Amino acid sequence: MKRGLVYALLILAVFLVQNNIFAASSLVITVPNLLLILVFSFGFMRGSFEGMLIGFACGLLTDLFFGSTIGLSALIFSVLGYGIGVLGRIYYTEYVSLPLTLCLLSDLLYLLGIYVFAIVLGGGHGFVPYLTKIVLPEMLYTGLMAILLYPLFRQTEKLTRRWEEKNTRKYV
Amino acid sequence: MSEPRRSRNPRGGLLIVIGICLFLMLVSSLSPGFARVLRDGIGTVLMPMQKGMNRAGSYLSGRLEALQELRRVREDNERLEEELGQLREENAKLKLNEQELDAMRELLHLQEQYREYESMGAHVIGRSSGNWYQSFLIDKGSKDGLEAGMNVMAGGGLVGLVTSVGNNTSTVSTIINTGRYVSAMTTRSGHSFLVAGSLELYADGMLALENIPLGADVEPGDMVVTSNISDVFLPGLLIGYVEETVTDANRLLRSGSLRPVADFDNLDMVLVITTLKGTGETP
Repeated sequence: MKRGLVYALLILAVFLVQNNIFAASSLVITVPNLLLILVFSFGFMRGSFEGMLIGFACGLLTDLFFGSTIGLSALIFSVLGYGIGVLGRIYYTEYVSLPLTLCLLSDLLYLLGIYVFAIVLGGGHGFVPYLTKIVLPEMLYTGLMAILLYPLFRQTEKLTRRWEEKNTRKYV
Repeated sequence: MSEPRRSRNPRGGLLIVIGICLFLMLVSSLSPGFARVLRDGIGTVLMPMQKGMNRAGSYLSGRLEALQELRRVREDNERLEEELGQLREENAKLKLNEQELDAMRELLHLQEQYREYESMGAHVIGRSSGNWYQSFLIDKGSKDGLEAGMNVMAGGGLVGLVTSVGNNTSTVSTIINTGRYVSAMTTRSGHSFLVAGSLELYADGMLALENIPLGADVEPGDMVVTSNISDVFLPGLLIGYVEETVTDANRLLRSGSLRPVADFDNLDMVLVITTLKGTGETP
């Protein structure tokens, strides 16, 4: 319950920051994919199930406001959240370099997923410009932001767990 | 109570979530009404927050810009004074040209059409999160009489198209989107061709020109407006000016680039034309 509340607030905050805070400044510049960092971080720390749920919520929110087909980003984000959760079970969560690599990899997968769907839905075009103009810049920015945000999300996770445990102890 | 990795059945959950997503995709592409209801609900709740965040962002970026601007202003001032002299000279020449232009506009009935279109101002309050689809959110919706398919202008140039409408917000898909084609023509010669969003060009603030007939009289500097052929864009809306043209490798057509009038880098206020193509314009 408390955890759900924390997640809802986090998702909302990240969504608003990403989509609204610098909305008026520019449409052309590359923005880091903050929602993906959120999905990735919690999927990695908390496992498949929660990664998938957060992914679904983030994707759905994006779709409702900006997507042409509701459910497309939700699908990609939930599958990514799930996959990251599976990897998180195998690897130890303390090191940052590995999560970072995974985050970049998931951004790449996300962008490739969007590309494949765009072709399926009939809006395909050159792959090389897509790679150089969108994929590489976005991965760079997302990677940089992940270095800053991942520790922040880890801290949030710790605080949330402490908050949860405070109440459960009363019943022991 | 809450272990990090719960022993719920995550694989079953994944299948359910995928199912929900596919269902949503199917339903929303089959019935626009369903998507509308969902968008309205979430839009009504989030709109005040989005507006607030947007204001905060504008304030921050405004502060940052003010600092950078001081330095720029000094350099600009010098350059501008030089330009002023040149412009005065050009202005005299252009006044002569204007009379010629008026005559041509009349020929195309552009002027009358522009006047017939009714429009409404709106603030940009959000942008799409991906770097792929260039669309943005405005603070007017069906309550203000907006409908999907309405054309959107900024700074005198075409920006895009309203693609979905909520109660208080609407999403605008821009013409710099790859895969979005606008049929257009030059005001000078009336030859028609396509204006398209292009990944290679938009970083430089340009759009692509495609399918220009080989013999067509299309030169750099020509004014490009939307043509009558388009089924979604009203005719006669200014898009931009031809930057350059080159003959395609197959030597059958020409392509090129176009500098749009609308400043996609700095969208703040836009104008939504509430006249819809196919309903409003009876000459």
